[in-house]
Amino acid sequence: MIITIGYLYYDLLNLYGENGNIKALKKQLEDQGINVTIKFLTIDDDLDFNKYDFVYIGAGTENNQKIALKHLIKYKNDIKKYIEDNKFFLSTGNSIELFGKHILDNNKTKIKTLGTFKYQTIIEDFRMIDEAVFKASLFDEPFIGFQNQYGVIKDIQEPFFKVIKGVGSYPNSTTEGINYKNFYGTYLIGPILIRNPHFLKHLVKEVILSKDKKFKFKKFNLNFETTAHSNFLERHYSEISI
Amino acid sequence: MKPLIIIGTKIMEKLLNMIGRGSVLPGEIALKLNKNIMSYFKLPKITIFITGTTGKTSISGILTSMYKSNGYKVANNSKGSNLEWGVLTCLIANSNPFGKIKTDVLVLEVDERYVKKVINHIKPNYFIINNLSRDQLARNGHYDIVWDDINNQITDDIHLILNSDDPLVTKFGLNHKGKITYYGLSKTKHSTKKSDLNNLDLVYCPKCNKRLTFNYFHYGNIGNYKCGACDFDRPKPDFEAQLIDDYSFKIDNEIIKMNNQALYNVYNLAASYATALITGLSKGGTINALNNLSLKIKRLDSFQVDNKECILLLSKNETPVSYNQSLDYISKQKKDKTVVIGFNNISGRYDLKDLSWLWDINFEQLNDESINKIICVGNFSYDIATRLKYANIDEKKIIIYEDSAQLLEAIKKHGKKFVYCVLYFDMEKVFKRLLKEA
Repeated sequence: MIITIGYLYYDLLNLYGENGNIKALKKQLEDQGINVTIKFLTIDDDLDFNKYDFVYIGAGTENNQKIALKHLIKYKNDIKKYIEDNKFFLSTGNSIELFGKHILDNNKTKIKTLGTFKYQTIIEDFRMIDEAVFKASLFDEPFIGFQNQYGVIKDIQEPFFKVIKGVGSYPNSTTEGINYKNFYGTYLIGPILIRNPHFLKHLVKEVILSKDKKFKFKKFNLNFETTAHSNFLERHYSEISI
Repeated sequence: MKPLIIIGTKIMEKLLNMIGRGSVLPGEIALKLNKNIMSYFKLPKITIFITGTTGKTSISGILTSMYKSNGYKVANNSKGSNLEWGVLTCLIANSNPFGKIKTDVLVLEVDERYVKKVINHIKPNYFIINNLSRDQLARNGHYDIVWDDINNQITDDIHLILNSDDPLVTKFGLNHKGKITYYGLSKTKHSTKKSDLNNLDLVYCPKCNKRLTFNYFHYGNIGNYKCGACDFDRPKPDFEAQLIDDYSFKIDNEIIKMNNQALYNVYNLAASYATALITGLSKGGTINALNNLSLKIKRLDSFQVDNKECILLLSKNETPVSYNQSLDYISKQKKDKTVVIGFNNISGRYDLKDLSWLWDINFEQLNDESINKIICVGNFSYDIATRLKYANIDEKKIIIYEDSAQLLEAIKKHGKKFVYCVLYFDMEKVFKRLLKEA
């Protein structure tokens, strides 16, 4: 089996160690005996969403985000179809803003985005930076991560997370992120698949099953990752009942 | 009122110094008594600010020593702090009650995020910006925010002294109408076509957003670049260093020796050389001073544990460009060795535990046969171990000690003759305490 991962804007949206997510997917898929191809894609490239089994896009500076958007918006219909076809898409950090209707900049300019979903992003004039602990109904284990953003989103229909600690979609929000079919979007930055091995395992399994329903899985090796995850929660969030 | 504040805090500063307690307290108090106190000071003709992600303290130390050995009186804040209180404490200590700085030269290193707080009150005539890259993102957000912060403070009457090899720094020159002096380093035998870091801060042209072409990299985002689509390119340096060998370089047809072969030292020295010349020091006096630096650029500390030599590479978490240089140094040591990596806290400054920076560092370069084991120590040892695993390092080579009190036992048990210890400040303290107790 060959699985092709499209890594969108690896050289523009790579602000917070996002490449960790690609490393995680690659290694875990390979451990299952899958041939993995990573397509490093950027604004000089033609995108072909028929060719990818999994697409990843991460966080960037506001400026780099706009450079990427100018290129990505040409593919808005392809992206919509890709997501409706149940294919896998992971968006972390401020790249989640690209999938709404528009971004309302802090000088009140409306920047048109992909329009995959109906939400809008409002850019604040203060930066929201905090640790995060979230819960998703699909998983027993809480998600840990970090947020570092100017944007807030207040009208997501299909939130991915319940906020236990952190900024969430906006200060004092109770939910965060979006999960629609196999599209997962979150403001959490950086290597969230590394820090949340349960999520990594889930995605690896699902993407393989989407190609072969009878696939026989080998045992996953996620020992370091799992201990790092539980250590973090025990040391810093032991008061949270999970 | 202002002279009284200065007299009061001056006395305090002297007393604190007498009892051996250098501190930024006088600055803090003065600021509390009058938040505009900093505007009161009258600066000397040569007032130099230094900022950047790395090299601030080194450059300000080199400049201080250089002006002194040429007979100038110099005030400098490097022994204290580079935040506004530290700057203010330095001004108080070196002024008369009417705020007149009594020295010929004022050399201030200023934290990137505090430039705006300081320049509002006191303005330098020379401003060195040595480099800018992703650093402490849990505090800074990202480098564009830091860039804007600094850029908003630059006025055309300031003479900028810029590193020509860092595109994020030369971007400051794009709209500057005042004087600019560039310093840089030409291609060396270490130059590479690909950077040692995967995630760079500026690879698209700041003028037209097209991809920049890098002829070569020295390290990180630093090298020789140009835009194929517009006229943005590496400015021709007014002072360009050419490496002769690992311990010397040529600049302005003169030879400068170094006692540390790291390339970032060349930039520190070239920035200092350029600044000296444009502020009126003689070429001879500058070269002489640089070759006889009273402050010796830090060599690596090393310690004995049993019969093993432990080489300490103090490395700041959350600053990938410099952390990576520690790893690069290790990977260049060809002998059989062991590596220790450890920290208990991510930052000494704030309690925000962001681990994303680990993935901006090229740990892949530790995937090397000459390394027998990599010992991960401290509260985040499993996070470090995970990073190493995804650098394709054999898990059998990765040893985990969560309890840093076991550091010496770990070294005794697993260490080869040479042990390279990449430690954050908090783990350095543990290490030194354990050595003392042993």
